[in-house]
Amino acid sequence: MTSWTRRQFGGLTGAALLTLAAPRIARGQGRPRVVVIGGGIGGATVARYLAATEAIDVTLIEPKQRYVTCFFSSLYLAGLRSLASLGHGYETLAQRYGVAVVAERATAIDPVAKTVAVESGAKLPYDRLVLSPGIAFKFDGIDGYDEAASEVMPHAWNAGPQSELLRRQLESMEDGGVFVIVAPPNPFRCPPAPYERASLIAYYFKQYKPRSKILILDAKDRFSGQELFEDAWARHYPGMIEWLPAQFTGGITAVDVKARSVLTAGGSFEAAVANVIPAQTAGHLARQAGLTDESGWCPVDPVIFESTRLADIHLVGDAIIGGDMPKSAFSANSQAKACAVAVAALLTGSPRFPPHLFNSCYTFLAPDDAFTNAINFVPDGDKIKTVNSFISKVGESAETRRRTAHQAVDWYAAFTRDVFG
Amino acid sequence: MAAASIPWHTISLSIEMARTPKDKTVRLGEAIGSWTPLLAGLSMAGFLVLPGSGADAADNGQDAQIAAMCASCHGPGGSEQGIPVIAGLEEQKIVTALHAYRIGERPSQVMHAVALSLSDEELASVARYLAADGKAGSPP
Repeated sequence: MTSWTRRQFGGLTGAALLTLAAPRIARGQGRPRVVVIGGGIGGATVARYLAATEAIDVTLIEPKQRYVTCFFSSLYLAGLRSLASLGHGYETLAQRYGVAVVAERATAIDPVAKTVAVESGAKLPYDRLVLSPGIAFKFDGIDGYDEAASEVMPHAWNAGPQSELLRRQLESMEDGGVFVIVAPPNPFRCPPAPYERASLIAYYFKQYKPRSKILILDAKDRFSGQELFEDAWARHYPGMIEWLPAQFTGGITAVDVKARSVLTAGGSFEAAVANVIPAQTAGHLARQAGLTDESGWCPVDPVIFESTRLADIHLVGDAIIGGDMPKSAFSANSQAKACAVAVAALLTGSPRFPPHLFNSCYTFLAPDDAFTNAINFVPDGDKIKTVNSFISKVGESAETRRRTAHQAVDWYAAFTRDVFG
Repeated sequence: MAAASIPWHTISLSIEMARTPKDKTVRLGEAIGSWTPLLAGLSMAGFLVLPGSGADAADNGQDAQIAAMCASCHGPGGSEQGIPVIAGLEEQKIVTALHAYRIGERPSQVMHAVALSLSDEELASVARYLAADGKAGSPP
């Protein structure tokens, strides 16, 4: 029953494997093998749903012990939720579902030999590979902004240490300071999130640093949910949040890390705290493996989520070109379920039905004021198209908004359980 | 019945409760002593319906695939104020609610979009599925 450990992971140390000593679900002789790279929302969902078939050996490669969700991380920044409450481990996937979790970084994909190399040098064979590589930052768009600069002017667009850094800066900021958010160009992870962040930090300022201001320097001329945000900012935080579109500033050109200022074509803005969210592209491994096109994102078949560039490799989540689907956790989860069904069908002959692709986002304007959107999609040729799209309206009752905020909290609990078990 | 003693409320809707042929569910529950951590995995086996599971046309796993969509929001820890638990609701109640959401009679952006994405057949089958899973899991 434990021979699978030696057979498949002979090159790995025991510590690298987070699995049961005697897994209940034996890894079978000759069962198809799926390797999943990336333990975020897309990867964990695929791993869990594939392992649930009990007909496939699933290995999840993820170097971090815990995944900290980007969604809800602005509640942490505003002091409304602990960072620990946003962290999720892989114990349930390993212990209950028999997923072999390899706590290492994947370093290379060999699409011909069909193996994935990890840091320790081991090569893991696969019949099908699923990547959920997430995003990487394009550090060439804003002069002077790079990895080192992000330690002074955090992006906090991957939750974890970056979020903690930004929270510390906000806490130590003097009342009356200006908090600058640089909002990225499309497409980027979680379209309403920079503006939700502005809303929740304004809530924090209103209580503790009421003379402070928030300035959003946007690379765009409009943004997701704009009417709802602008209505809420006027109601909850009058005079506190200013949004400057690209057409006003001429676009963001550079940062001066020492002066903690952001330069635009039209002038420079000094910040007490700066949150610079750069332009984004598919995660590093996807680009290295040749899974991206000239856009920097990964083209996929919209029904089975297989790469159109390399056979037997599937992709889900923020890194893909998802047509009308936004880059969101819910989209990643929905794509992952469709992908799991498709991969299982390909490997075991199980039936497959047209996928139901869906996205829903809860967005906080204040702790008791949230809005929601919901969209269903269908694959259409090589694209994914919106069928129906609904969003909360300006002027809804306070009670409706309170209920939506309550739903958001329930949603977080159900959703993270659906993903991580 | 062993199935009746299974504390389904401790595990979440749909994927863990995904289809296992009902006659087997009982035997699995009886056969496994320390089943708690195992049960979810076993009962999930039918989610993608494996070859040889004896699925007929009405029991081919499409309902479980649709119910997986429900699991993105509806967990075992829901609340009436927020997102309710739906596993184990009466079938007719689920059908009625989904129809009301579809025509906008009950307000909810999310459920309006969900209900519109389901055909009548899909709506009926997922309602049957959710209702049945809840029954299998009800404490005595």
